[in-house]
Amino acid sequence: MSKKTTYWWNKWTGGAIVILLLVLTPIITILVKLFGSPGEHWSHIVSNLLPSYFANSMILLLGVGLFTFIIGVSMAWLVSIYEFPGRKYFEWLLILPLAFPSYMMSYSYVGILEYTGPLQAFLRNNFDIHIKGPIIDIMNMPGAIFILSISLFPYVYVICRASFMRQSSELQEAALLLGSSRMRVFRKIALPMARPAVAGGIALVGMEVLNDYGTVKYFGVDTFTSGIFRAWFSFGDINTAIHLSAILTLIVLLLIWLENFQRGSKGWTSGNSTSRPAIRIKPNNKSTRFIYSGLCLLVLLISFIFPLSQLFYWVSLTWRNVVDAEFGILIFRSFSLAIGSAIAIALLSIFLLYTVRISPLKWTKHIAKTASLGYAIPGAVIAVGIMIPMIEMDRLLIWLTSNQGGMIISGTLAILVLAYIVRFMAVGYNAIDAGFQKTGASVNEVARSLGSSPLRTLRKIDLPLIRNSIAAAILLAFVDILKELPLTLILRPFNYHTLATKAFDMATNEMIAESANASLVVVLTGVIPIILLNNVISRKRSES
Amino acid sequence: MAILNLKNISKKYRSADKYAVDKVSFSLEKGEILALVGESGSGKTTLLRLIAGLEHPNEGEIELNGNLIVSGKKSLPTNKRKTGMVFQDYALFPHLTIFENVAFGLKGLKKKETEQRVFETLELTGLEEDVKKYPHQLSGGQQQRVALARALAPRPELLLMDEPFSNLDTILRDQVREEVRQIIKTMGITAILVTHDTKDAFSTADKIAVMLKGKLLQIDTPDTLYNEPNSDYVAELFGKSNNLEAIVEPGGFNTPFGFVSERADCPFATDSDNCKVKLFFRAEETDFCNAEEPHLCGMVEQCTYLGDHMQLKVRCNRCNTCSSKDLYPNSNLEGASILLKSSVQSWKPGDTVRFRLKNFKVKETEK
Repeated sequence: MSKKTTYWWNKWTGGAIVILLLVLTPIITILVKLFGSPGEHWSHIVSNLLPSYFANSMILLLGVGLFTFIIGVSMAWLVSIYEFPGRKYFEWLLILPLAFPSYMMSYSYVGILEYTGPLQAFLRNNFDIHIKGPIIDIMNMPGAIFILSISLFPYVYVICRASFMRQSSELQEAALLLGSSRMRVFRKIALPMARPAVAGGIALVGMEVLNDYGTVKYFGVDTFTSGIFRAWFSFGDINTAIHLSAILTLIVLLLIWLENFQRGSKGWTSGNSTSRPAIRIKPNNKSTRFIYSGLCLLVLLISFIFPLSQLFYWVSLTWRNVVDAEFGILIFRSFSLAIGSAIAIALLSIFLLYTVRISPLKWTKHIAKTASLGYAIPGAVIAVGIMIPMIEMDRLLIWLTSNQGGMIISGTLAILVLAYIVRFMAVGYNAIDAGFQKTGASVNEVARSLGSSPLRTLRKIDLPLIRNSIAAAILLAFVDILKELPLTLILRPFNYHTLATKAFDMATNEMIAESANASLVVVLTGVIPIILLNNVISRKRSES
Repeated sequence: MAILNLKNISKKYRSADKYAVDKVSFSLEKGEILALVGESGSGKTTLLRLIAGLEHPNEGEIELNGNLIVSGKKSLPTNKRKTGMVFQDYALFPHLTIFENVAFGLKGLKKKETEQRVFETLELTGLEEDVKKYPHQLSGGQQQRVALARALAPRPELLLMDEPFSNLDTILRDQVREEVRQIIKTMGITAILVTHDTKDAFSTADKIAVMLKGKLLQIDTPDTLYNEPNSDYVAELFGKSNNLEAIVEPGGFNTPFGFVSERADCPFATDSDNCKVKLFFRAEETDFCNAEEPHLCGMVEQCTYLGDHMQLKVRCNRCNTCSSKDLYPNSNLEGASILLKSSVQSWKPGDTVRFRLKNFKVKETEK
């Protein structure tokens, strides 16, 4: 009658494996090249710079990890347990710092604290206090920890809050009824249960810290990432860049392993999803309520409103000189590059996840999961890992065609798009996975049992049902790509600028006030999905 | 003619250390309704998914309507098997109307034919007026009918239903069960129904298959399954039953509750007197009687009110009127207790119960 096929092999599985190989190219390259001979500068770097790269990266990781933990967890606990004025707004306002790339945040803070900055002007004019230089010098390690902490704490906050909200209220109520104080419930029940989530959030923060180039470069803190840049651009030593990348990759993999290890088999679910959320406590004392509001406001001011105001201030001074047709083209280019890459990410994520959905094999899940590993790998490493095979392919092409036209593949936008896909696949993947999870597998299975081919089922059933998730995936990936700096710096075609690289370029060339124009566009664009997605969430909540 | 034939089907999930389905073989005649019964984790849903092609077995072959659809690494994709499926949560397409839902599986038909087929099927399930509504506008019972209609519209060779009644409330459930059986029988479709509820199985199925830990324990008609369970598990699944210890004696069996005469319709080779056996009888297979008749005797230890009947836990109490003391001097049988059903509701703990076994089976105890 009909044709039987091998049950696990079809064009979907094949396609997924091809995508996986493509996405893993940079990591494979780095690992293969690691066995080659290190570059000429390697011994110099090992003896003179490597110890400080290592020490600085570790201090940064520990410092930022500690502070994001303190700020993130305490804010999450406040807004999920207590009722106080403005709580409803702080709940999502505290996510806003995510829209502010940390390197742009560092430019703002340098501006705020410098001699001509608003703070000193205020002190001078009102209190006749004169200080030479900036009030506090933040262009050093503590400053970098401060900037990265206030811009990255929302990772911990968001995940931790979600975990607190998911915990069944019965559990906490049971502890209260047994005579525990709120503080004890927090220490003994809520926090231990949220531990996997908190660790996951801090791991994300750690990956962002290792990825950062703009802040550490500006503040003069030498880390692995800035070392890769130095090897690549200053020394022009590819092999040394690879070796540094490999060490950094190992550190990241260690971080991932630690995170998985601490989670272990303790997959304790925090109550079932149908449990009602805990009733918030309204502190009896009015001043306590205002202290809570004040705390949230303080964090919000420092992590978002102050630096944003500085941007607005600078823009008001400089926009006449900066905003012109060329700036318009810059915005257009940046946006279309980001949107194009984001759509590619969404399409590939759909392909991968749909393969998992229709495959009777469980291991396809691992293919998809592995393909989204790029979020953990620092942008500079991905850039190096992609650039090298491309340069070699170009050399091969030049040798084959024996022309002297130069590089054909490397230095094109296509490479940049590929790198974005590798780095931000997880963003699209997670959004679309959430959509598929919500839809459930049975509609798809029932459609196929009714004789609908996998492709028709995708078109008629799955895609219409997850279209909101697709939109979210594109939007989130778009914003992340727009903010991306290190990878773009390495892979952009000669003289090609995005908003991010332009802001970086201007800031490092003593045009910090002018750089605010590009920064402001990036930050305000980044705010959009936060507001949009939060609205979607709160609408959903009021409907149910 | 067997329409479905499973040969030695085994499935093991990679993460699990035990087989989800362990060497299951059975066949199903055309037009039969089979209920797969078992507790959660017994492998019944996995078996259903293997037949639907949503999973692939590690071993075994499946034949549907004379075609080998699963064999070795080869498999006919789900969408090419002519199986309809009804899920526990119905899995209606939320973005499509009732009409579009039911018409989804109809391909290669003209518009008119499609319409005709949809209405024909909906009529059968009693839902023809609601075709323009969306699934969320329907009640649970209506959604269930749409799910059934959608699966039946392409006239599948085999209908698979995964816990189809578990989302309905008790009253609706009894009614829907009856209707579903009617509809399937009218269309002459072969069906497999997965359920953990024995009532579902009894009221809808022609044959019942009991699964435990991936193994198929017994597959038989409901009647045979109830009266001749091949294991304690199957017996226990379909109602309260007792396994009363007894010693074979001339003319009957000696139990802690008294002497039970041998029954002509239940022959037992009593070549070995004094050997230990077990008497299997269901809780309702007893008569209560008065002291004059020959009887068994015990004391009510616990009584549970269950609406239409009362369940009694009866312990042997060695009263003076019955003969169990002399005939059954083994003292460690003091703890023996049995369950009885009584339509009389006035029992209290401590009452003396006199009863007779209406029906029982003798099982040899393994040594």
